[in-house]
Amino acid sequence: MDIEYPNGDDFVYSVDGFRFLGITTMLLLIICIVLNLGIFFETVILALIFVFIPALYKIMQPISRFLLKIVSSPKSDILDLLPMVNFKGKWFMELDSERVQMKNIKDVMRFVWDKKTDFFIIAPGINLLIIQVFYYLGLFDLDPARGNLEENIIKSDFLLYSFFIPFIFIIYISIVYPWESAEIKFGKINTETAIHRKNQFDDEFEVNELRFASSSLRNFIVFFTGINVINWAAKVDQILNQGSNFWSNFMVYYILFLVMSTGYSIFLGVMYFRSKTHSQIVNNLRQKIWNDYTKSKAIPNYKRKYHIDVRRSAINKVIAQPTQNTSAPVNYQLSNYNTTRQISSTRPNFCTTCGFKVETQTQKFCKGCGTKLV
Amino acid sequence: MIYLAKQKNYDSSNFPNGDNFIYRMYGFGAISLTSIILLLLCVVSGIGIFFLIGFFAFVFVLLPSLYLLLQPIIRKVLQIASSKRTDFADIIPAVNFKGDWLMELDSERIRMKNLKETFKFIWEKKIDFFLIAPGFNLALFHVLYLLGYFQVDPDVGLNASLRENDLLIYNVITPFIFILYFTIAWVWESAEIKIAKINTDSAIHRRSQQGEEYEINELGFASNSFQNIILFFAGINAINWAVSVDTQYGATNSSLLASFLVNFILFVVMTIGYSIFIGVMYFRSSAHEKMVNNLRRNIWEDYSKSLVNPHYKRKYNINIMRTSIPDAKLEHLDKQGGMQ
Repeated sequence: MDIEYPNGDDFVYSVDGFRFLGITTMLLLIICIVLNLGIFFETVILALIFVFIPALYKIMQPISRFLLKIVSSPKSDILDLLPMVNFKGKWFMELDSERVQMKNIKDVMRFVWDKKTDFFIIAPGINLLIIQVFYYLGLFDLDPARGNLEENIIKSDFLLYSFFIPFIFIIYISIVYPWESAEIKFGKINTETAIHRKNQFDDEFEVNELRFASSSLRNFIVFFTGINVINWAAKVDQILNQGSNFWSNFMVYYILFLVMSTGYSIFLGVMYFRSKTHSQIVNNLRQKIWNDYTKSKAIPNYKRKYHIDVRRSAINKVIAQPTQNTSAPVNYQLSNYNTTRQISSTRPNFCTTCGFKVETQTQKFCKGCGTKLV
Repeated sequence: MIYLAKQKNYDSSNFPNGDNFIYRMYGFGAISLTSIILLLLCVVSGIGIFFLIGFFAFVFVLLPSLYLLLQPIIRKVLQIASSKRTDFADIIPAVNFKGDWLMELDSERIRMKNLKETFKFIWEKKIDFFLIAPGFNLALFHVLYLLGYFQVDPDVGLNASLRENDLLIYNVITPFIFILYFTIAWVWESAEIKIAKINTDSAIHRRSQQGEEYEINELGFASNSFQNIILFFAGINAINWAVSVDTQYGATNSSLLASFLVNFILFVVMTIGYSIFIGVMYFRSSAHEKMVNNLRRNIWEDYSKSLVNPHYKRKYNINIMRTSIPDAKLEHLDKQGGMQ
C-alpha cells in the first residue's frame, strides 16, 4: 500500500518496516501446530485472521473517536483527581506527524520496546482482571491462585480465557496507539505565567507539562488494574490462609501470567502493525480532527465535535551572550538573552520525485527513491 | 517590611528585562493568626505528637536558614539525576529521566490574594500530601518495626501502639524526611526544571530544518518523575507490608482487616494533616523563594560558562530553553496538499 506524499507530507503518518507476513510468523504457526499448543495456536489463528482481514481493526474506529470526543471535552476534567491522570489542559494535535521507518530487526525491537508499559504491565493486569471476573461468574471451576499449576493450565477454561484476551487487548491497542501516533497531546498550563506570555506573544502560550493524551488513558488503566490485582491478592490470601506457601505460589503464577500475557500481547501488537491498518486509522483520525478544526475557524458558529486544536510544539534554544563576570546579578546577565527562530531553507525539504523528506541540507541523494536531489 | 516592599514591585512595568528569570511567591505570611491559635491549642491540649510537630514547624519558620542547609543536597541530587547515566531508571513505569533536560527561561510569579487561592495552591500539591506522605509513613513504620524500635506492632493493638512513646520517635523523624522530600521536589518544580522526551524520528527532521528549535513529544517536570519513583516504591512497600502482616497473623480473627483499616485511615488522616502543616510552614518561612532562585542562578551560571568556554566541564546536564506552542496558522496549512 503506497501513501502518496504530497507537499503536506508532514501531516501524514506512516510506519514502514513491518512486513505483512514474515518468516517468523510462519515458523511460529508451524511450531504451534506441530507441538499442538492449544492456547498459543488459538492466539496465532486469531492474529492471522486479524492480519488478513484488517477491516476488523477498523471497526474500532468509531469507538476510538467517540472516546476521544468525551475525554477531550472540558466536562471530563474531574478525572484529574486520579493520580497520574491528566485530562485537564489544552488539547491539541501536533501539526507535523511523523514517518517511522524501521530498516532492520534492531529498529523493530526498539519500536516494540518503546511500548513496554502496554506489554509488560497492562497486558498482565488485564489478564488478572479477566481471570477474576471469570472466577466470580463461575466460568472457572478452579481458582487460578489455588491448586496445581499444571492442572490450571491444562484446564479447558483457559482456552476460553485466551480467546477473550486478544479481543480486549486489541480494543485497547486500537484506541491508544492511534491516539499516540496521531500526536494528540495536551499542554497543562499554569495560568499565572500563561497570562504574562499571552500579552507578550499573541499566538503562543507557555506549557508546563506536555503529554500524550494516550498516556493518561494508559496510566488510568494501569491504576485500575493495579488496584484490582492488589485487592485480589489480599482477598485470595485471606481465603487460602496458607501462610508462607502463598507468596511463592502467587509469585509463580504472576510470573507465569507475566511471561504468557507479555508474550502474546507482543505477538498481537506486532500483528496489528503488520496488518498495515495502523497508518490508515491514524490518518483518518487526523483528517477528522483537521476538518473539525478548519471548519471551526471558517464558520464562527460551528459546533465543534472535538475540542482539539492544531498546533506545533517546539523548544526554542535560548541564545545568550553571557557576560564573563558570572557573579553579576542574574538580572543583568539575562538582559542579553534573545530567542530566535530561524527558518531558512534554500531548497525544498522533500524529494521532488517521491516526496520523501530530506534530512539535512548537505544530503545529496534521496533516501526514499535514491534519485539525486536538486 | 521586606514583604511589603516586594509587593510594591509587583507591577510588571517595574520589572527590567531579566525579571522573567526570577521566581517569586506572595501570599504566605511568616506568622499568622491561625498558626498561633494552632500552637496555643497544641500547648493547652497537651497532645504530645501535635505539640512536637508544631514546635518543629515553628523552629523551621523562625530559622529559614535551616532549610537552606539542604541546598547542597538538592543540587547534588539534580546533578546525579540529570546525568546521562541515570537513563536506565526509565525502565520503571511512570518514570522518565531520559531526554533533554532543560530549565524554562521564564520562571513565574505566584500571587495568592486570599485564602481561597492559598487553598488552591495547596490542592495542586495533592499527590504529595495525599499519597506520598502516607506512603512514606508506612514505609518508615515498617522499617522501624523491623529494626525493633517498636515493641507493639501497630496492626495488632490500635490503642496500645498509639499510646506508645515510640511513636514520638517516629514523629520526630518523619517531619525531617518530609522536609527533605518536599524541598527537593518543590524546588525543582518551581525552578521549572523539565525533561523533554523527543521522538528521534521527528526530532532529526526538525533540527536540521530549523537550526534552533526542535519538536517535543512529551514535556514533564523533572520533579514529576522523582515523585512517581517515590510513589511507586512507597506503594510497593505499603502493599508488601499489608500482605506480610496479614499472612503473619492469619485470618483467624476477622477483626484484623477492620483493625488494619482503622489504623490505615488514622495514619492517612494524621500524616496528611501534618504534612500539609509542615508544607505550609515551609512556604511561610520564605526559604522557598531563595532556594529556587539560587538553584536557577547556579544552573544559569553553569550554562553560560559552557557557552563561553567550550572546554568547560559542565556540572549539570541542563540547558536553558523556552517552550512554546503556537497556534497553527491556516494560511500555512492551506499550502499543504490533501487537507482540503
